[in-house]
Amino acid sequence: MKTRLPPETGVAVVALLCYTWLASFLPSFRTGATASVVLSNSAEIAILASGMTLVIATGGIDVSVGSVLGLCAIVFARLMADGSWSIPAAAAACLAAGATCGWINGILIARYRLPSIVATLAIFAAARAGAYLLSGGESISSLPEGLIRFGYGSIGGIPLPALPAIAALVACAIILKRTAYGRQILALGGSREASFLSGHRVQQVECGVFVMSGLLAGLAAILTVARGATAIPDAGRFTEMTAITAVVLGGTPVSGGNATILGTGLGVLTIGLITNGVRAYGRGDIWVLLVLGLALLVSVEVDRWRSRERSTLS
Amino acid sequence: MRRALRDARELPAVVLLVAAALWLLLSKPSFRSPGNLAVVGQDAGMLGLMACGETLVILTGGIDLSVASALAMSACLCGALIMAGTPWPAAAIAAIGLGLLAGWVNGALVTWRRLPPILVTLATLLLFRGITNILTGAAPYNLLPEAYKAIGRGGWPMLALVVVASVLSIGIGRSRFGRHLVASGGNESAARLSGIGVPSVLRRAYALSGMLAASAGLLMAAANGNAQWTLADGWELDVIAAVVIGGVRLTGGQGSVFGATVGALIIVILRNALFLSGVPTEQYGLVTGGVIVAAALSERWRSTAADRR
Repeated sequence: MKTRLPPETGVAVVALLCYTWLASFLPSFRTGATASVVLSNSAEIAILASGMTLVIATGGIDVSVGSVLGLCAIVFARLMADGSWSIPAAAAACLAAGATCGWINGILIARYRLPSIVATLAIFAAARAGAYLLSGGESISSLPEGLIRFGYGSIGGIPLPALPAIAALVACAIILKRTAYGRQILALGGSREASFLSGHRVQQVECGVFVMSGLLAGLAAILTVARGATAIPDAGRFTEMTAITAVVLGGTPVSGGNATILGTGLGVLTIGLITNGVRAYGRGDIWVLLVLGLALLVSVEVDRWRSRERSTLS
Repeated sequence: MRRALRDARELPAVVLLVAAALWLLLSKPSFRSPGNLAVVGQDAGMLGLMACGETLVILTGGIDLSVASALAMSACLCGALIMAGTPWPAAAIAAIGLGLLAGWVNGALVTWRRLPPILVTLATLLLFRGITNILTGAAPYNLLPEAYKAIGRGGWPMLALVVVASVLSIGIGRSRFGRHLVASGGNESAARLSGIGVPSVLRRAYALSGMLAASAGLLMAAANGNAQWTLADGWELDVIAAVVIGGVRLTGGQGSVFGATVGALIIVILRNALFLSGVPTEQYGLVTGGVIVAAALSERWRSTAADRR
């Protein structure tokens, strides 16, 4: 009876290695200021990735989150700048816009049974276009002071934008591991047929994860606008790739049926460390792409190795 | 005859293409101008070549997200070799070889390491473009000879597409490789049990996809008179959209190169119509997204209707 390695082992080792490397060669990485920058910069990805974990747990994928983030950012900023809505009202509308995009994805995928990559690809294209249509291609920067104070603020050394990110991760972890709905998500990812035959409302379960993914994209949009003090229609480009990478890096298999939010959190942290590390070495963001591509391949390889070991053990 | 027509997966795409083309010919005089038709032909040729390669991969039940990055990498190799003094045909052959190699790497990772295609090609999407940026130092290769630039202009891209699509269409129907390809996507374990070497079929499909992407890259660099690491950024999604619109089933085993070619033509014509109507480029996605959903839904309904029979 060998004890099985938890699925987060690989990513925990990678995160620790990244941190040790950076902390021993770059003195700035030993300071709290850098830690807070890494946390703050990872906030949006953490939020998107926690929703993405739920989607991937059902065996689907959501490539639309980056575009939905862009659309929601414009909705949020325009309501405040041109509609002079209060921050909470605009934030609620922003979340509603995200949830609506997610609901369209969910209906197309759950009720009309389109492959998730096709439906979310369509929303990926349409939501980005919508962001340009609503903004007229311009950035919106006349935003209320309170919002920007939130974007730059911190409490007890922890940057304020990191709080909603941690909340999103914790909420998704509770949903996944502690609720009946979470077990239905995993069951659906394991076997749609078995899930249906067990009396689960498969369509609602599947639609629900996409609504949550869209809602969280709306939340990430609020943070993006607050942290940037401006809303651009291009906001969130490529974040869907980063979010998917974080989830897979964290040890959640793309085939569905299994998921780990802790792993996703560590995956996001690893990506945050890599991104800030590459920048600290004075390299452009393209090196981040390169390192992320390699990290993705390595982590899928580790996952394959782990799952093979498990299947021979059981 | 009637049943054959009803079962043709490409039918909605063909109807849409004919309707869109007729409507544009009748209502937009600017569409008919030789200059505009030449641009449509060029774009359709390039997108179509990539869509043909993507179809081979999707027929096996996989997906290749790295095509646009492989395209940029190959085009930059071609540009670099030409500017270093290599005659352009030799540079072009080297670039196609690189595309073949890039695709083969995808196939090798998918088959030998048994990794999910969507993740392998997502990683190589990042890797190929990152490598290209770093090796070229983000510099453009724009001192290209006129003889080379000529292959990206006029009717050549369209001619290349027609030749490739015809060869592949006949090849898939008649050759052993073609039948094995479709069988591997239709039911992998059945294919394996029938003695088909599924891994080698898959590797060849990915290699062909990389090679066709590289060919499209050669034409694109020639048409733009410039090879750069940002070439065809984001085109992978247009390619997949073209394949879906063309009625190819994303889970594999059903669809045709002909359908994907029609899908590519539809995307290019719609983009051109929006351009001629003065819609900003960034807003094309609303129409592309709508067409993808409509095509996927119509495919869905047709296949459930077929199941019920």
